[in-house]
Amino acid sequence: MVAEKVFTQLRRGTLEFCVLALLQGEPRYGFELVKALGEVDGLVTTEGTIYPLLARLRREGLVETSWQESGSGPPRRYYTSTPEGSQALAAFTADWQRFCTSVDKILQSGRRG
Amino acid sequence: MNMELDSDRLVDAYLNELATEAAALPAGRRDELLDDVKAHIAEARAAGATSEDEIREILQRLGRPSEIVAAATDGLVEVEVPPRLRPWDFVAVGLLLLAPYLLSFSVIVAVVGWVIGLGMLWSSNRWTTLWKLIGTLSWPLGYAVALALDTFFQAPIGISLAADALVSIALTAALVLNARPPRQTS
Repeated sequence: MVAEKVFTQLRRGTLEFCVLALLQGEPRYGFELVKALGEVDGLVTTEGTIYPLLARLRREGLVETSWQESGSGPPRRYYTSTPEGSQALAAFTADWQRFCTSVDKILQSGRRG
Repeated sequence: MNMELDSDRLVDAYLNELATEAAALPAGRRDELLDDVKAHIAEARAAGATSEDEIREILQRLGRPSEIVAAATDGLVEVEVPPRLRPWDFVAVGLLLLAPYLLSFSVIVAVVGWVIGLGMLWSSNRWTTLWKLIGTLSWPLGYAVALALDTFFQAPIGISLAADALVSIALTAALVLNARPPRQTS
């Protein structure tokens, strides 16, 4: 991948908002969340690093957790977005769209010129 | 049967490595991380991953334990926890406890040893003044108990000596358990 370092940084910075986005509307448990993120191309390279990320989001009050029994194995830790989490996501989404538009515009003008 | 054993061994090795790598994390975070990863593997296995190759793939997707722990330490300043007792403090406690037993061997050695122990105790920053006093009194108190048993109850010498030892050891144990490194100013 070109500019691998840039994408490592981008991934690191944006992943937590992807997690928050997946938690809007429905609670999910860790494994489910990791699988959902892993299915998207190029977003997660090491699935295990999502768990420390989730722990940090909880410490920061952006997600909440609760335990629920599962039919097929050990109890599951479910994550839900808090109002603060949804707020942070909304703010990021607006900034991100502006950022993407700007970068795209420059990249395209470079290609044309 | 054999296949399952090999898979178990792979998982155990992975979790052991993760536990070793995570040793530097605060205990709460370490336990949470280990539980999360353990649950992840259990879920993947419950979802049908059984063969050695499948387990290998799950572990590979999780990433190297060092990478996972690096993500957990991200933005976290590692704090070096000072030990509760340094070798110096152990020597102090050891002298206070054992020097009296050298009395029958040489009074001078016993007293000098005990006084050195006292000096080390009082110059250490691991105890509050109250605990330093308790440490200082552990020998005299034990001796006083033995003497009292002997004088007032005419207890056999063995009982008096045992009581003396018991009091000294109990006070010394309390002293060791109540050692605290000074709070860091940072």
